[in-house]
Amino acid sequence: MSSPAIVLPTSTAPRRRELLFGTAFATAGVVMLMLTLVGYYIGAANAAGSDWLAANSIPLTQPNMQMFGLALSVVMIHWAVYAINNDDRTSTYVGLGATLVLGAAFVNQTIFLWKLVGITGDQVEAPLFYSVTGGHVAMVLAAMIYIFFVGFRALGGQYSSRNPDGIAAAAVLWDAAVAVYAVIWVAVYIMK
Amino acid sequence: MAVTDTTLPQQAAAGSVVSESAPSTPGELEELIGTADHTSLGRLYIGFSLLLLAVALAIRLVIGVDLATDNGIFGSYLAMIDPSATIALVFLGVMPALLGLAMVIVPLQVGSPAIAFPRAAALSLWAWLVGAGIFITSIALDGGVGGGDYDAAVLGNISLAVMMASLALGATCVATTVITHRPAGMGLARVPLFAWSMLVAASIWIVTVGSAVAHTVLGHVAADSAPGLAENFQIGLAWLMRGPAVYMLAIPVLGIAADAVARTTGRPLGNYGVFQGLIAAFGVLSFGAWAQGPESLNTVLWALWALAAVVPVLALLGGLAESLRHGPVKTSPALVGSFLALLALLAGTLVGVLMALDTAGKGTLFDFDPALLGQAQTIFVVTAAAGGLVAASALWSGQLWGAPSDSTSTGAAGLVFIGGAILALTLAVEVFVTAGGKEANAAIGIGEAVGALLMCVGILGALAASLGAARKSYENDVAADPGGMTLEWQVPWPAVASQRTAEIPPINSPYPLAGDPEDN
Repeated sequence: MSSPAIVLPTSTAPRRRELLFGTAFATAGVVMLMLTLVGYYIGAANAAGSDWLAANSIPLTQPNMQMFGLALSVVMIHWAVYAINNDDRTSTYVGLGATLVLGAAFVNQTIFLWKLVGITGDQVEAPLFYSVTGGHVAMVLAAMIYIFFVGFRALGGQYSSRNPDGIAAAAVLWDAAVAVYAVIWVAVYIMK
Repeated sequence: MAVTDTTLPQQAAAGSVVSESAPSTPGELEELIGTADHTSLGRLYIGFSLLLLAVALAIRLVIGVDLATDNGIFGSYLAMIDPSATIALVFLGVMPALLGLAMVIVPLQVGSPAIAFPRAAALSLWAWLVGAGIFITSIALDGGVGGGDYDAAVLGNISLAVMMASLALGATCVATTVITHRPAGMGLARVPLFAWSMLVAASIWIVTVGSAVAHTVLGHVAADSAPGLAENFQIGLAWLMRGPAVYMLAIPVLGIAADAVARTTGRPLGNYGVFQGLIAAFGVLSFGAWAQGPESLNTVLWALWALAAVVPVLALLGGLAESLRHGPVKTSPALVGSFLALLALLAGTLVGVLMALDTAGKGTLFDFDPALLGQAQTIFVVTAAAGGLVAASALWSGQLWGAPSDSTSTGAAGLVFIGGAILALTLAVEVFVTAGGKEANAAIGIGEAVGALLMCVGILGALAASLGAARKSYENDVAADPGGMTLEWQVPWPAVASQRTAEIPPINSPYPLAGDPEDN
């Protein structure tokens, strides 16, 4: 007995670069949010003069290492983008994994730095300091979740040289997170 | 027969045994709530935002009556509720309404059966609606953005952030649609001008709203009292309600007017790139996140920026008027409405020029109150955006609601413009009578109340006209009008996504359906 032929419904191919541009637009909004917070931090610090963070000391070792780690992570995620464009799946997973590890290290260092600096909630600097640094940690965590999901989908075979958009979109968000940290590094930690 | 050829309802009708665990067909309400169809989402956005815009105008009407009766209604609460009413006009009214219009029309103009990220667009609608409901509630509880009750003010602050994030999400969907859903051959230089204006507007909305959300975060983190939150709004968010940032609301109006002229004249616009450039230039000049602090009003850059914003509006008005001169024109409510909207926008930018001249004179030339002028400017721009929306609703009534507009929409547009002009001019006049006493305040209050009332009735009239067209379409099979030059005129009315399955052929002309045959 022959089995009936099964006709699957027509699938809709994803639009090329849709995820990439969508992520880019959303990232632009998040970057503006962070830059506004940093701008107000700088304004408040300038207005307070030498009184700003006078009761606390911000060491530079951790921020410098964080910057170095994030710079390295940019290389890693673009390695993943390059690899998926060349259908090198193993290198894609390694690149994404290394980026996640460096991101986790960044979050860990930030929490360590918060404890080290010890700005308490009743200090005038606290709202802006934690809005800026906490907001950025949230941005990095969001980017890590994004990378995790596109990595998971890459494992399922969704992304390849024909459709590398998901990995490229994650790279856009990650690059923006690193660029925002570069601004924070200078404005909050170096200029103090 | 292939197993997927028969749907469950068909099997049931044919007497087939349907398993008890088979999913039931969703009802109309369930389908509406769960829809990701861009037409339904856009209609819901427009319907709810027109309703909420009427509510915001009703609040402004009560403020006017309160002023006319020497603070007999609100008393000292007047100063607290005023900024909330203005915020409501923008984030509950014109911005979501224009976004809803774009959700319906933009995919049609670029020949796409769907909007980019349809589920994100649905999330944008419902999250905005929830945020808007909470914001209205918080105003009623003496909260909003300047209220005296701390818990209600926190609620207002959070709901404002929810609304702004939702609108930015919707704008992301619209902008991505224009960038990535175009058919082969339709480069960005060939997209219809409303779609182009929405790409520019959505980009500006996303970055501006992103910056504004930062202040709601700061307000939530830093302020530990209701006055603290009100001060946070005055210092951190008042820039949204004056030039240049407030101009962003009216960027789509430029595209609506250009498409209305092309549709009415039946001819492609000449110098297409120039029109695109003017819209883009106005978009750039609408970016106001760099001028947030009150001190920025005293800078040369701000004065030059305010002066420059007039140029693209004037040039576009002139260019469109020139296009109308080249042949017979059939006057339509859409054409008249969109030109009146451009004039209202021009008036808003001219108020900015007054502020700039005052800045140039270091406050000695006219010695205006920038806050009052800013309010007048906001009302002019809101009038432009609301009037532009009503004009667009008449222009694309078939695509939006399934039937052509009737005379109700003409009357509604008239009321919106007359009311907006009265309201804005009253606020502008207030600048000159700062020490006028009770009589002057009463006159100003009456002017504000009358203006807000007329606008409110006009907006409700536009809503009624839309519902009337939708009902006409439901009761009678209205044939589509294929007379337009861009792709949205080639879809059946109403523009339901499931009916649009045909592949779009490669496009070779900015007006691919009625342009120069050699181009196609």
